[in-house]
Amino acid sequence: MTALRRVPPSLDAVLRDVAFDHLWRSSSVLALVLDAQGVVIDANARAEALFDGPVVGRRGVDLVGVAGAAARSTLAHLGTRGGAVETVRLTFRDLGGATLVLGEADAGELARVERDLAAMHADLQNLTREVVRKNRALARLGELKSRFVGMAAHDLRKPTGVILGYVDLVLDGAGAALSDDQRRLLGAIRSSCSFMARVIDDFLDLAVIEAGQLTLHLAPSDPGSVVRAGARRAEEHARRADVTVSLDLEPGTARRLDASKIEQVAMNLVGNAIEHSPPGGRVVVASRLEGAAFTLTVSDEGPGIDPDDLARLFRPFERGAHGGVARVGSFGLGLSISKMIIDAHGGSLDAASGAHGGTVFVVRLPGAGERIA
Amino acid sequence: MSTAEERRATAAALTLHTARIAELATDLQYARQPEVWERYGVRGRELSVRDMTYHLPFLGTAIVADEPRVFADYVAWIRHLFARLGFEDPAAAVLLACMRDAIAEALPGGLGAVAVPYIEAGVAELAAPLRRFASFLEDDGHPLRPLARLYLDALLKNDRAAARTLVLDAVARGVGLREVLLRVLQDVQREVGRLWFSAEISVAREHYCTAVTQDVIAHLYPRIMDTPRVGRRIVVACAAGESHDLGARMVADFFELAGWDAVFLGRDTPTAALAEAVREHRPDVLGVSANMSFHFPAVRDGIAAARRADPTGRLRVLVGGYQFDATPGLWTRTGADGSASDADAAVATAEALVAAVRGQGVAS
Repeated sequence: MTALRRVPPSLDAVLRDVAFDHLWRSSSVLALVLDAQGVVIDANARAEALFDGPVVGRRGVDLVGVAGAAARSTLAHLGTRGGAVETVRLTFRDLGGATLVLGEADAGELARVERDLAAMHADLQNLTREVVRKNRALARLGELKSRFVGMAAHDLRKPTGVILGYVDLVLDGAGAALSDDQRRLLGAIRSSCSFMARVIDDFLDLAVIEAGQLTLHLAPSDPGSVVRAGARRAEEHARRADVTVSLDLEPGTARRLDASKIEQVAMNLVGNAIEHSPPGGRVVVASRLEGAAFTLTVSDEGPGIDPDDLARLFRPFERGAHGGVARVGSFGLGLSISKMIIDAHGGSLDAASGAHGGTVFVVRLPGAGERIA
Repeated sequence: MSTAEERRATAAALTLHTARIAELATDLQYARQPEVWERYGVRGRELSVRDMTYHLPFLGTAIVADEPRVFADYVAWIRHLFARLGFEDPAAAVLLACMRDAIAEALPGGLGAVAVPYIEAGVAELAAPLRRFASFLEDDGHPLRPLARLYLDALLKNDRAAARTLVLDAVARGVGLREVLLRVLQDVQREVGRLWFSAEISVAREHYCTAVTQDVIAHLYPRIMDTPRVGRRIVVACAAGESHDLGARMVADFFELAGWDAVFLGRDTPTAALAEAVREHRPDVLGVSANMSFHFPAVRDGIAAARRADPTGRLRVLVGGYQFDATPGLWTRTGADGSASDADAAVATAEALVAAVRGQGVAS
């Protein structure tokens, strides 16, 4: 054995004893002694602590995962009693008929990796902070937007009503005094103004719902009758678009709902179906009772909706999603408001399109005490 | 008495000649105390030279800030370090004498004399009673102290889930966020720093504790950020080179709790980035954090750059961090408008500064 340099010969033996004692009792270096068959015949305290159960008598290769050859050095990943995996560099030393296996972690590498991980963790937490902060800022901006839209719509509603009222007054009162051209122009003013009033109502509805102030006035009503009333409000629209609306409504059972809001949903869905139907097309409005739940379907013969667009169909301001045709002058609010109203009733509103066109909207309203996911 | 110009020149020369001073001082140490140093051999000498390069920036800060106490504080820490390593105080005294003589030899034009009073402050510290660095969690009767101790215990046992639950449960029970942040998380992190400094825990353990505390705070963000806004903004950053960012982030979070919009730039913010952030975010207040006194020049340079980036003259600047707590008055040499020793005080100071700006009607 090589003599230890620097230490006076008188200290050599005691130094070896102390160093060996440290290695065997308290060092973080793993030490195993294997016999010629590779079976552990001795192990230090570190090895006993590291592996699950007694070490002596087990095969070295089962413990460290590699069979050793003298002077060989390799990395090994050791599963430990605590569940963590420790990587150590194993060195195999020939003892003459036996083998000493030493396993040592690279403390320098661990320290560098740990330092960098800590820095990355801190950076990640800073990013998390920014995300939360910006989300809050966006939420505040969203509230501000809803308030602005609500106030603007509220202020526009009154003059729109005044214009509509005076146009009606002139059309009804002036009678034969109007020329055909004047009547046509006044009709155009009326039609545009009615459209504007509907958009303003949609804005107001949306502002109220987004502010969390949607209040349902629940009373026992027959949903079939309510749907019928909503569909009738779209009759004039259907006539102008040359679309037939067929009603196939089973008498429902009365349930607590906000009749005017459900009527609005029916009108929106039927109006939307008419809008996307070809001239001469047909819209079918059908209702069924499925157990206690009330189901309404509104089907059209339009071009259908691209599957990618279905997901954003009910989001506000997703104009032109239906059928991929942008509707100039429409904000696409009707469907999103309808969904919010149905959600508030504990129901569901979904849409599906066939491969060859045509779209069906399905409303489900729960029976008493039910909730539809 | 030296002039500010002489002090600046001396600090600059110290930086320029650090390597030579370190070599000279170490040679003197070995010559004067061979019995102490020779036994450490070649490697020991290399470490001595390296350590000398660590000491000199603290002296440089003391000189440029004209605060001898900065260096005295550092020497107090060195005393503890030497005691732990088994050196007697005379070794520290010889070290300081060697440093003084090496500086005198290495610096041109008598600049070495400028450094002497600051080194003498360190020598005086060696004669003073050994400072005691008391636990930050000693019983002070505060009702959250037991929770702070339990939280620290969980951290030291690797039980991050328990640590997080302790804090989140307390908040859910109605304990105030400010109290939890200050009296549990801040105090525990200060104690973790003390334990590291006293060599009672490893660097890895200190990093682990800090990471868990960062994680706990992240879980509190939805509550922290939910305060009604007051229409004021602060940008908080760690000075260039400063890697400890938890304290600064807690300060930013306290501003959010107070309704401010608090942008946090993170650790080690270069001077240019600090100025850019001021141009981009137009904050009412800039907060700059640095713990170690050798970051002092970076703090001062960062503040100067930020002021140049604010043509309105309305920007107010706060500094904070261990060095400013340890040396009262040091902040006045940074170009800042104020300093605060914790997150709560930072908000109060910033609000007073902003109110004063508005009261003066500084032209925008």
